[in-house]
Amino acid sequence: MRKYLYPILIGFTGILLVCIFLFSKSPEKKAATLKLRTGSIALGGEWVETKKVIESLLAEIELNPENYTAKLNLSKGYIQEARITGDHAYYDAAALVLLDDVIANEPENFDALCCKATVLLSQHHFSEALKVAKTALPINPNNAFIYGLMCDSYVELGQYKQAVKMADKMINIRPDIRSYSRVSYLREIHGDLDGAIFASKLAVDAGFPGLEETAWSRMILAHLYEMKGHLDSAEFQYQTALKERPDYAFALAGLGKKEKVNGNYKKAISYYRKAEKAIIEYSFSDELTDLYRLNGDPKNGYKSAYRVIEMLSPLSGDDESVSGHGHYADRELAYAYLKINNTEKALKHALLEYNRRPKNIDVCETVAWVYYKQKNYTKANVFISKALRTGSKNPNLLCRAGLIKFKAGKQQEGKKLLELAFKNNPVLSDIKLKNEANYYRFKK
Amino acid sequence: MKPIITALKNNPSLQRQLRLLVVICCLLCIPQLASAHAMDLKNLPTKDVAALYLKLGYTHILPLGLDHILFVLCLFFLSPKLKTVLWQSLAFTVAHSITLGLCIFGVISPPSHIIEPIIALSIVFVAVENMIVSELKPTRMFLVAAFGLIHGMGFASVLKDLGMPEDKFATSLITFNVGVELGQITVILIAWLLVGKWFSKKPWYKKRIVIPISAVIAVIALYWTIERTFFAG
Repeated sequence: MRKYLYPILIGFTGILLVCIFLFSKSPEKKAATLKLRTGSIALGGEWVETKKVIESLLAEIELNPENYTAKLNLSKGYIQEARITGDHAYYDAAALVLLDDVIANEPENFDALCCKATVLLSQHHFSEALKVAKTALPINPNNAFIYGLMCDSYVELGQYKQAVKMADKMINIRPDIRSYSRVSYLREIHGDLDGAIFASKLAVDAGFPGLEETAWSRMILAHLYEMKGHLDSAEFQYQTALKERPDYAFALAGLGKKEKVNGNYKKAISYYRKAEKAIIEYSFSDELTDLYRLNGDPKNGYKSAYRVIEMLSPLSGDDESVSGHGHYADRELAYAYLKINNTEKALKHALLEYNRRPKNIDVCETVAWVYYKQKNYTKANVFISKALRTGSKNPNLLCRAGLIKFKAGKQQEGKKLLELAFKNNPVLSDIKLKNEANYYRFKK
Repeated sequence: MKPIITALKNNPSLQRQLRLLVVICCLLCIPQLASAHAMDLKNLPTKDVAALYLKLGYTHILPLGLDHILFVLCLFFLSPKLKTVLWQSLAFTVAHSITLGLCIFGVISPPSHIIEPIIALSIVFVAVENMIVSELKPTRMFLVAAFGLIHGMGFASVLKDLGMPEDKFATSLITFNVGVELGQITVILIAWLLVGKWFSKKPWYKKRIVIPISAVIAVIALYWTIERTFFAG
């Protein structure tokens, strides 16, 4: 009997092997479904319409998995849904799977390539986004949007000259809300605040009232007004956005900021909490951290600070070693760790981001500020000088730069920067920073 | 403290065990090598890429690769001599490195829905073989190498999902394989320390240890084979 055991084993393995080849099927990739919205964004006709369209696209794909037009349209729906709900982790990944499928079958699908670059930008994968946009460009060089995508990628990678070129090309082809917005941002970071406000106004006027992109343009305009110290104009934009798009979370947060600056912390908290309930957005919880602390409630402040870290960690890929679908949120995490005084982790994340895009001024500012908090003023000075290179007049940046220069032993330069920061009496929502800057500004 | 040091000095066997324990602890520390953050691999220095992929290879065995752990354990239980089993492990690694490289370079692209059940079936085979053969035969080495080729195709799908830096392809591939090998060595050393060292020379070793453990492994692997063949997707 024993001598038959081995042949039986081989025979049995052979049978199973045949079964594997005959019966195993390639797993079907089902498209991700639409998540139900909650809160105020679930009210109104837009959600009903979105649900109807996305459900019909899902049904079409279920019926014919090779319907690439439906897949492309569904990915567009998910990109929009990510913006509205703030659930970028879910919808960006879902859109990317669909787009990869479309591109694998139609490598020269211009629309799909543009959408993919959009998603990659949203995930902060800027180098990859630029690569995809460059692939799409020769397919349709007369399309304005592709220049917008390239402009965004160049801005985020800190290649500002190329970004300006792309914005010029974009606006020449199609002067609309998207191109005006990009021009506005580029003017802002180059210190031309009046020019930025002018372009931003054009962007708002070019937008259709009530649409998310128009409401977002109003937020940008309001932010520019705040930098010029025009509080009333900023508030007008927030109120108008709320009229056109009720419960628009960023407008609620804007009003919260105004209350915070005026010292009405309780009112500010209620605005931010309302905004936090409407959409998933870490910056609302981040603001709440400061507000709770200012309001004498450090316990809730810490809770909120840790909530921000919890929200950002999976986005930054803390759960995965290397991921093609994760978001990079290390710059945001660096600031979040500073709020719980963990400068070591803050530095680690800041440098991770710096490793990806060393030329970006915001990233240089983050690294500089973390070094400042670590009392390493020499290094902070090196990075802040890089952050100042475009001549931005952002009061936050100028305050930080002034303080760093002061501590690095360059008092004159520091004072000059602090004076410039407060020149227009801007809205500085970071009260701690404002107080610290004011102390050194008036120090003799 | 002094009596312990004296006992250690006078007992070479204890010294060997302690050394082994230190080696296992060092191997178990490999997952701490690289930070687990999403990275732009293109901009990472070579040493960081090497550390990251070494860690990925290691964690792909310990703790994530239960099927590979069971396969290595099957190899170990039939002949729990460290030297023999480490040679088998090396043959397995060399074999899987070949197919892994071929898959990554796109020379072959076997479908994962075929490869995964075959990997499970390979575990069934070695587990049942453990029960029916009386001793390790030279053919086992060839069998291990052949199955290594199959397992390598399984590793490829994981690496493809993770992505590899274009400019540090060789570094990441080699360090991933080294990580896998170190993961296997850890499994073998732990199994040897827990079982092999104490019971391998007992007359009842085969009856009370090899057969029951191999039977359990065979049942688990058979379940995976059926599940991956008929119910996946």
